[in-house]
Amino acid sequence: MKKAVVDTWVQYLHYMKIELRSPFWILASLFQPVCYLYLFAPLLKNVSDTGGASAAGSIGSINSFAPGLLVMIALFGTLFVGYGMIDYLRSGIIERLRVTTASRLSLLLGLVLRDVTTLLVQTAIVFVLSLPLGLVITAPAVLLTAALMVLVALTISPASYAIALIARSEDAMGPILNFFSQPLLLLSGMLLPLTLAPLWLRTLSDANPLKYVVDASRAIFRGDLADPAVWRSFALMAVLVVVSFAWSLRQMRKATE
Amino acid sequence: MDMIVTQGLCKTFKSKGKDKGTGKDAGVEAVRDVDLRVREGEIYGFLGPNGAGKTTTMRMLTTLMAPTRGTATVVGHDLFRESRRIRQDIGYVSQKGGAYEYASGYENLVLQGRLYGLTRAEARDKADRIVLQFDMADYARRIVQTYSGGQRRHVDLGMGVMHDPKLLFLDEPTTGLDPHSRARFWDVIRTLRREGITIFLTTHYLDEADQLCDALCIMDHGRVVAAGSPEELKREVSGDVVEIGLDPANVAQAAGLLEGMGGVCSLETTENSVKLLVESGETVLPAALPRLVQAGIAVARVEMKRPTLDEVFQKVTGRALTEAEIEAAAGGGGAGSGAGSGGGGWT
Ligand SMILES: Nc1ncnc2c1ncn2[C@@H]1O[C@H](COP(=O)(O)OP(=O)(O)OP(=O)(O)O)[C@@H](O)[C@H]1O
Ligand SMILES: [Mg+2]
Repeated sequence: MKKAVVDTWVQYLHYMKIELRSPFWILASLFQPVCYLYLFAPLLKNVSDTGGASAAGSIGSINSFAPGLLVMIALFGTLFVGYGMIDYLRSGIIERLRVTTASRLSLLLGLVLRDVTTLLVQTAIVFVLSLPLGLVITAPAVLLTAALMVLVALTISPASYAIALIARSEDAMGPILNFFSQPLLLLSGMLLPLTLAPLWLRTLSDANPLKYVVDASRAIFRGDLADPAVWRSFALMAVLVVVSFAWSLRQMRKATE
Repeated sequence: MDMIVTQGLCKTFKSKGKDKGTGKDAGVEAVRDVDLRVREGEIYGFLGPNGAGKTTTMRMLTTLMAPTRGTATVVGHDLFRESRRIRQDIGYVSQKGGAYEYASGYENLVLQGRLYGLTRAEARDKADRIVLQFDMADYARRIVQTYSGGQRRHVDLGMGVMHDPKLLFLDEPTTGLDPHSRARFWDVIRTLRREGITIFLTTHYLDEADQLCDALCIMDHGRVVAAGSPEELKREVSGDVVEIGLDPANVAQAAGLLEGMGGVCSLETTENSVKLLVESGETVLPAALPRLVQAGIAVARVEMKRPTLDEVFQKVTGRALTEAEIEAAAGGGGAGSGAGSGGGGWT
């Protein structure tokens, strides 16, 4: 047990070190939030001003836009991490690691925790960049959002590695990821609230776990921390984290066959 | 103590996609009934053409994949029940290496040590020693992405011995290295053996097997077709090789004249010579040369050699190693065919 913790920690530090060495890392994590907050959000402001659903009280439109943006960054920031795994498979790194005495879980956790860290940095960036745009938020709400983002990353990142371990090539990986990412994005209400959608579309979106995450983070950003949507999404994501890890671990165990 | 003992080890891959001709899902029998015995302290060579099943055997013995059938003990531990113990006692350097491209060689070494349970201080200490011993000081602090092929192999090997394993598996350690780097790499491997590490390596190079290995086995189409020390194997062939140098224009005609002569086991031609594998050079040569002279063929050169491992290979498999390689690359023949994907074709 103690060895598993040390193994995980050692690998996590290693992956972070490699990540931070890349000069593009900070730029890449800044780029998406900046684009959406400064190039896309202004559009949305006009939509809501002309009679949208979210012009509630004194809280500005950034409070309804930022939650969706965060979930989108969480989705796209972690869904594609599997590409790195394909590179590791091809260069024999996974095989080498599997012959060491490090536990299989630690091989996975080292990578996943790096992805969680990256996402937390991006979350922080979104918060900071949103303040000048009129974001109103309390400290508990910030922490709760961050926790929700961690759960999203803990679900999607291991799943992405599992897909990579099955697909084993970029060519096979691309279509699979697109297949998942498009419906997950469109049916979550990330960009435009699903209240605008027809009934059948809303029914369909009930099957999308990210919809509950978006609903929860909207509630949190409204300051409504006690909204049932919040604890419901936490419970759902907690289950999905376990499922995702179990699947990924299974693929990791049989990675060379 | 024996470091590796296997009995009837088999691995059959379920083939992805069915056989086009028959519509049956036959699977690939990559390794069939392999019996091995590797003694403590030796350098054991595993020789065979592409697709012979060398890597597959090694992957089973290093706990990476479960055998389909058979039994094996590695460093005294049962392969099926004690894989954790085996991992602690062995090192494995795969065909592909497996260093992180964007970390330095030194960082790769230290991380590897840490994953085997060394403390940070111990790992650094050992990495320092390996850098000295393998003569890596010039490049150890640069990222691996900038390394030459030989430098990479040194890092890979270093990672394999960070935890002082008793048994080291090397899958084609010198493929792609120039003769000079290969010779240096052999020296490093010999040093490791002197330190008490048993070494099990695969190779395509007959000279490597001959000069480096104390014992070896030859594998072909998933089976072990010969095993023993290089000297024993050569003695078994017990024939001599006679090479007659000729004008390129006469090679075909000369081959026709010599083929099927008494005492000739097999015949092979090169651009400007005919090579005969004979029972005894002393009796065949005096008969062969007059035949050529009578046909008006001028003999430029005559050479006689005791057998090499190449001839051993030819005898036990019925073809030369180079031919076997070409055949495997073309996807023909036995275990080489039928695999939709996998590690066979590319090295
Ligand atoms: N994962 C796999 N699935 C299906 N077939 C496989 C798999 N791995 C290997 N094979 C097949 O098993 C056979 C033996 O392959 P192996 O990699 O062990 O050969 P090798 O002796 O190491 O060859 P090389 O010298 O090219 O490295 C080949 O026919 C190969 O295509
Ligand atoms: Mg191989």
